[in-house]
Amino acid sequence: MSAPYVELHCHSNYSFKEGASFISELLQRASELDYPALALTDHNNLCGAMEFADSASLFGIQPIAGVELDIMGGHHLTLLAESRQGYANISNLVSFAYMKADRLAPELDPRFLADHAEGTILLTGCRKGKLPSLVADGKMDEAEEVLRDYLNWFGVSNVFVELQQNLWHGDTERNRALVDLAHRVGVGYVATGNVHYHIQGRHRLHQALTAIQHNKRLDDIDYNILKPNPMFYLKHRDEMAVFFESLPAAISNTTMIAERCSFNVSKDLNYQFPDYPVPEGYTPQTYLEKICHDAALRRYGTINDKVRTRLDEEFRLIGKHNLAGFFLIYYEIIQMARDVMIDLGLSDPEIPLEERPPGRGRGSSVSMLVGYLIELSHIDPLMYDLSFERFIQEDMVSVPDIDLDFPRNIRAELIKRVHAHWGWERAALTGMISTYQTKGAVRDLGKVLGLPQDDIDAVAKRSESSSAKNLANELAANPKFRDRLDAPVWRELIELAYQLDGFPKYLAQHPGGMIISSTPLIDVVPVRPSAIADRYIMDWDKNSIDTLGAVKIDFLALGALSQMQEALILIEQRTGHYPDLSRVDGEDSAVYDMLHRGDTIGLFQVESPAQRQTITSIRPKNLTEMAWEVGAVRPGVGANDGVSQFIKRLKGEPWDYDHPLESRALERTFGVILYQDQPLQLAVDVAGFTASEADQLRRTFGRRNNESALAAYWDRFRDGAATNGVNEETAAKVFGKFNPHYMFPEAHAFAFGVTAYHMAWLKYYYPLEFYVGIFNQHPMGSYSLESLKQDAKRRGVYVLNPDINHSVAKASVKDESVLLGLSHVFGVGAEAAESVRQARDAAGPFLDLGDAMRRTGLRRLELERLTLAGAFDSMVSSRKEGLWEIGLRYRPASPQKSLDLPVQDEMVSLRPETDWEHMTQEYQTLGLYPSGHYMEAIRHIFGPEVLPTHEIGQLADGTRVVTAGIKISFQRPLGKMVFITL
Amino acid sequence: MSVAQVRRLLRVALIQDLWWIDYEWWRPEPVSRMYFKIVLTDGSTVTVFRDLLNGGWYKQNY
Repeated sequence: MSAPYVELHCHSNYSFKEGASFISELLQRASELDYPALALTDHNNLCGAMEFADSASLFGIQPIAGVELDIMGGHHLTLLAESRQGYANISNLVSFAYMKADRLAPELDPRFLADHAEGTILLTGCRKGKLPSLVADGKMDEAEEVLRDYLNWFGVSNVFVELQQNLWHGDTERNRALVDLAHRVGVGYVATGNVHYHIQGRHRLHQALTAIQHNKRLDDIDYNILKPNPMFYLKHRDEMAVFFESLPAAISNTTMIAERCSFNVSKDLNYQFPDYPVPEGYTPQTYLEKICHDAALRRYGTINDKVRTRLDEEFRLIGKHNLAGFFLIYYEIIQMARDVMIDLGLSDPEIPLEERPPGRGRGSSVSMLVGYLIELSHIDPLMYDLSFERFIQEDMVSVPDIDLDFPRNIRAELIKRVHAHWGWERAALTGMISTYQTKGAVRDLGKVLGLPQDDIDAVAKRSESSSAKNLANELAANPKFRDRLDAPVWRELIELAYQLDGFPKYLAQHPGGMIISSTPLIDVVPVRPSAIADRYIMDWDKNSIDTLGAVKIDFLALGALSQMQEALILIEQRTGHYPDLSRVDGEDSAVYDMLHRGDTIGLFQVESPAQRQTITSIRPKNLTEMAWEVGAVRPGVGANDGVSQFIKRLKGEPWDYDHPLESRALERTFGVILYQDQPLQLAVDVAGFTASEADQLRRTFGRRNNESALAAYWDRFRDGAATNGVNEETAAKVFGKFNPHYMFPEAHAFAFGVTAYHMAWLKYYYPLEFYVGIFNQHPMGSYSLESLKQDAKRRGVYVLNPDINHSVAKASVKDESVLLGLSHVFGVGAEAAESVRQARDAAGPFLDLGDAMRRTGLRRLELERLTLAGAFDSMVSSRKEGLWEIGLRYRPASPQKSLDLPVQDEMVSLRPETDWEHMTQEYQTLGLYPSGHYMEAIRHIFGPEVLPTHEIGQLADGTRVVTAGIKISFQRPLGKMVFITL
Repeated sequence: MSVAQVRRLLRVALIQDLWWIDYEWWRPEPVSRMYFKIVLTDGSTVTVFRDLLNGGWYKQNY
């Protein structure tokens, strides 16, 4: 048996469009090959570093963190982390490669290497390394100079000449020269495999990915760019021994280096929650307690036993897990958000924060009383008996995220202020890995394989499955393509798409997740500029951050909150009173009656067709039941047929637990799982998991390639259940209630349920302001402006065409109606609307069309569209005559002032438009018909067999009907049933 | 091993280098060859390759 071997140069598919294997596949194969350790050296990033380290222990492999970096001049360099400091240095260097260069073409200035060498081992790189390139070109003196620079910066024991033998022409000769150089200079050498996939069978995918990366067809790519053969796989020690038979030290140095690189990203990062500078005389813990006590007195008037007991327990756990500083940072962020509100004119320093909160919390953090008292959340957890254990537990390993929803305007400004306040090195947005699914796989692979573009488009557009593994079935079901399954190139497309499914495609920005740290974040994870200016993202996604144990705060923009904010301000303007939604009656039967009728169009969380169907069955009567409604229509609940089961039991169908130990988890929802927390409670109560183990089980369900991990969890679950007297069959039933599909945490469902109720309350009592708000936030929700207009009309609120003398840019209130804004007209932007407003402010209303044209400087297209939308209806006899007049008067903008000649003699009298013409004009320019409905115009052409929709509700369930309308929305949750709204 | 030169049979003294190319699998006629740079017993150097698809041996003409 040959000497042990460790692969020290290995790419996963986090080397985007380059590596051709998942981390789990590499680890599995390394384990089969009896590697004691494996290094991950992805290209210019550490995106996979945490996942790699966290997964390696499952396979008995020691993980080594590293990177292959692009260095200025187009060269590659391999770096391995020996220690915590070495890892921090590597993370810094990756960050600098992006921050100091083009974010899409990172490259590191080699001058940074000298100051970031401590704790790092340098390998001189693949054939694209500077040293090997010079050697291959015969420039031995220059090569020696480069090597001596590395030694000066890193030290002789931390530099190794990298030797690779992949049967690539030139490898043998280059290796001979490199070994000679190493001997001459007195430095060690080490063998690496330049691994890009775990088995040879992925060679073709790797070549295809290389072509995708270079945006070239395989037929057109320079073969010097493609790796020439399938030799870039994880090899057995015996294979490596043959290649380096005359250089045994090249092999033995791999294990020697591995033994030195004992740093483990998932165990040794020792992430510290940030500190918070507190006033003198306080610690972060005591300062947080003071803030909460003061707030509790304001909220409750007194601190009774219930409040005291709850606060004591929460403070104890916060102290145990050292979270006080974190809660104080969020407190500071809420104060910053309030400052943004004041700066935007949406609040006043005199108004208490709790009366006009800038945002609303969601997620499990809503279950904390401390969160309620520092204005993180709008939900009193004591009122709804919410347990804080979903957010913070005794044995907690990682802390769940804190999510904050803001109106869009507040969020955009707040993120900028957070970056500015803490700096890009200490506050960064979390990354999100975009992955290959069917459409992307077909498009990218089809292109490099040279398939006709029309065929690629046809397949991509018609694909229904998101998994590229199903491409063969999709083609088989398509008459145009079913005979190509075995055709050349098409069979390669199918095979490669199958392999490519789920591969990371690129690093994107998470919608709003951010980590704030008082110590430099770039010592933990690389940070780079985002595609959006003044924003910075980190290499890690939510899963890696969870494993790190960092708290991620999500700054999310919620259109509903923007709508709510606008509606409340309009109500205050009209009535002089700003409604305090935190004090409205949560059991108003008038509001619930509206919801029970399915009258939920425009209502956050309950307006989708599936929700409208469900709410008429669940018929919530209070905020707890609103949480049922919001939580029930989620994929994770529907996957186990939970929704229909819940409704039946709610209506009285007898039921029982699979085992009495389920009662704590499921009693409050009739034995049915509605919330993400409930399966976790089952794992604790039935199988004896700790709370954090149950949470890890939940996260494992959501991971890719999780089969072996889930099998291990089932064994633990079954054994744990047995010790609680639960037989295997029952244990399997309970375990089967876990699924990978998304469900809301209970506190999250409460938070959203309350917001949905508040929106319903506004719609019921203040419909005018409600609809102005929703018109201004559109596009939002499931319905078009046309549908919203009809819904408004049903509530007695009319929508008026824009008016050149009264409209502003956005919708506003006029004559107890919604007056459309000028920017609702297609092609009329904010700048044009502003010029109209300024002209009116300067010299009063426009007298006629000519006056408006002269004073606003609007372009011809804008004038014509405004005319057809009805904006000049008060000034012209007909819109046709308006267009005629525009044609006579319009002069493009010019430095020379044109003469304003009278046009009256050239005006003609034209037939006024019919209603049909008005209707088509308004649909073309506004996307809606404010004064009517298209069905009124065409209903007469349908025969008696076509029923109007209002008659269908009276028919018995199961009756087949014929009706007509235009599709408003179409949903098919989990493919089980279709909901169409007409 | 021997290589047939014109009218002579020579033995292989040393395999100086070998490399493998595997391209054009997406075309009707893919290419997969193992190249050998060999030193013959008369001291001359020649490059031959084996076509891994049809098994044939060929001399590389540069």
